[in-house]
Amino acid sequence: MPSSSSNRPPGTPFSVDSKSPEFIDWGAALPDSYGRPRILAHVRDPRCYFVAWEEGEQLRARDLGTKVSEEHGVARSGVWYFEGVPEHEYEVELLAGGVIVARSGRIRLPRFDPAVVVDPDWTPTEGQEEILRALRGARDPAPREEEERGNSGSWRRLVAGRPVSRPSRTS
Amino acid sequence: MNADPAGYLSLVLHAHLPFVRHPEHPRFLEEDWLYEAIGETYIPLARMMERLLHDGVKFRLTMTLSPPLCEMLVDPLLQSRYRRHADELLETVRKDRGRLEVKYQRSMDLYERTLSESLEYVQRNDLLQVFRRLQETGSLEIVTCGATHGFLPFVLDARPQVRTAVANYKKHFGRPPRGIWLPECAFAPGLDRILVENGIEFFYVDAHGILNGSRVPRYGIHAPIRTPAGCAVFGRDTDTSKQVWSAKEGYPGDPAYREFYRDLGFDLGLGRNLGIKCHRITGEVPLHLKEPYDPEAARAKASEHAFHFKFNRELQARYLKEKLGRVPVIVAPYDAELFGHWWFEGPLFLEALFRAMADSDVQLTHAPEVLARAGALQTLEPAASSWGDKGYYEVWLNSTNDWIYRHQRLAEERMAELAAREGGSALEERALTQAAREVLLLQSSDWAFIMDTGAVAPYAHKRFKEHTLRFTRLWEMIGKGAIDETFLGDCEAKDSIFQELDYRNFRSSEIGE
Repeated sequence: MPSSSSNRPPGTPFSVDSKSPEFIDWGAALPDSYGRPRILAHVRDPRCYFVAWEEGEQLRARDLGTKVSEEHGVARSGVWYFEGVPEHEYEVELLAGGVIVARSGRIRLPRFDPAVVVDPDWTPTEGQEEILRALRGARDPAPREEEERGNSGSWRRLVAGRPVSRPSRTS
Repeated sequence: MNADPAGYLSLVLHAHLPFVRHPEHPRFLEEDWLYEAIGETYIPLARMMERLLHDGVKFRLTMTLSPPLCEMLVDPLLQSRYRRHADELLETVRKDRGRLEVKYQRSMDLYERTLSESLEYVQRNDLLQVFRRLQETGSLEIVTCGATHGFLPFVLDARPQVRTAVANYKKHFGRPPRGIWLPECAFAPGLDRILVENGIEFFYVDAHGILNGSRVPRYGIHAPIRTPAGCAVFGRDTDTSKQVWSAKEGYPGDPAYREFYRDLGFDLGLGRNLGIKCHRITGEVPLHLKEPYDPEAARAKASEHAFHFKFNRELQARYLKEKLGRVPVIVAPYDAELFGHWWFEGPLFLEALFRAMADSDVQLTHAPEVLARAGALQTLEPAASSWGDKGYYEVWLNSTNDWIYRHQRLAEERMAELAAREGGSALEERALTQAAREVLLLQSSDWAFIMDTGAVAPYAHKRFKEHTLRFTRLWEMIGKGAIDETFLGDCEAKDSIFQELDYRNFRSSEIGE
């Protein structure tokens, strides 16, 4: 997809920092590091969480339930995707020189499967169970064919199976 | 009105665009996103609702009008640029239609008429006020969204996004919002408490957000539940979504409908899209083999699809009612811009559907009506979820966009520290407010989303970086007590969103309550 400047209608000015029609303006660089140890953790999905850090040498990711941990030597700054277990809670420490220099917030991975705990006041009838079974089948959380998912992420790329060139919300 | 319908259908249209406003350039391509959406989606939807009310057709519709969209719709610069955009398109149609064969003239008639009507409509009306008046009839329920469509599971604290959105809604609609469309339909446990703190009564999640919640939902996704914090939650119906979006069954891919990808600008040799298209989808054929668009045939097809949709909802509702033992609520949310922009005939489909539903045993409704007649709701905590690809957060967190989060988090931490102080001078107060604006703007999920799609990614990179750098410089200036008023004024002119903004929204504790 062309940049905003190269895709401009003829006769309209390029942005001031365009150097040529081929120039793509990605914006000014942001710092590689802000100069102190930091670490950040985000949930990605039921089986994966993300960590970004600055000013460290080693990551130690801990499952707070099982106490199992894994360690990785890392570059001074970067990102890492850890595998995890649904509904488990994790925390990641950043180490430098063998010492903990930053600790992420605690994150909990989402449920992967439909709920099984039944509220006694809201016990499903047989008919309701039938609907629940159908819904669980229709909304299998495992990845499926993109065009069949029908959710926002896919249809922004496929409208009725036809690829779209721009994000719908921003087109 | 049937006192005991087979079901209730709640259509939800999420209208949102990122805040794109470039006063520093006389023209800016990405501003066209707004102009296209105004002409193809927002005006057609507003006019559709006005016609329905005029004709006495009872309907219910829910729309998000996101805070950035509201701010752009009332912006005088963007309003005048929209008129220029539509004016120029109309001039092109009038000037160039003579170069086209007779078989395209019906399409050109359509464009000439709708562009003229749109221009006349915005001369007579303030579009946002039209939506406000429509809400006051009770037929339309407008819900808010995150202030800048920030991806709430990834922000340090969701309160600034929610507080700012609520204040902005009050400014534009004269009352607090009752509901919210969570940006990207993204929920994380704990968000509901912040929503309740801010007076929000209901929100929406994708189906698995309820199915995978803390308890088995007795009525599946066809009745609202209540979170432990007390917020009502509606689940997205999977069948209605599929009927529009499926590659095999989706309506917008019908051969009679307008072809999005063959644009008159290229047919005329202009080398750019005009937003005017004279061909129909035709079938699985290359663009150069597309056949001329027939507006009347497309209109008939939209009506046919509306009746098909209605018929299927009736079957669905009757089946669900029998099995669930209660009247089901079917919630069908879509991005509003689908209707008109991507799917040109979408507004025709909606109007035909609303008219057809008048004699259906499935009643159109919206969340406030459902909650008013609902008894006790089952309490459960929804699961983390979104409506993005794979159902969680990966669209906004992958190798194309994950680099943004360490910058975003630092800016959020710094802003929280700034918000703890009281602005000493008027200048410092301005700087603090602008710093808050920049953080809200960099939080917009649109940047990560656009990076993920790859489409216009450089613009998203640039916008994220610009807001981060502007914030950082303001933070430094405030810290040093040396505010460069010229720089501050430049930021205020460019990033002028939320004139009512209170930077204290970034305080983690309750404010002014």
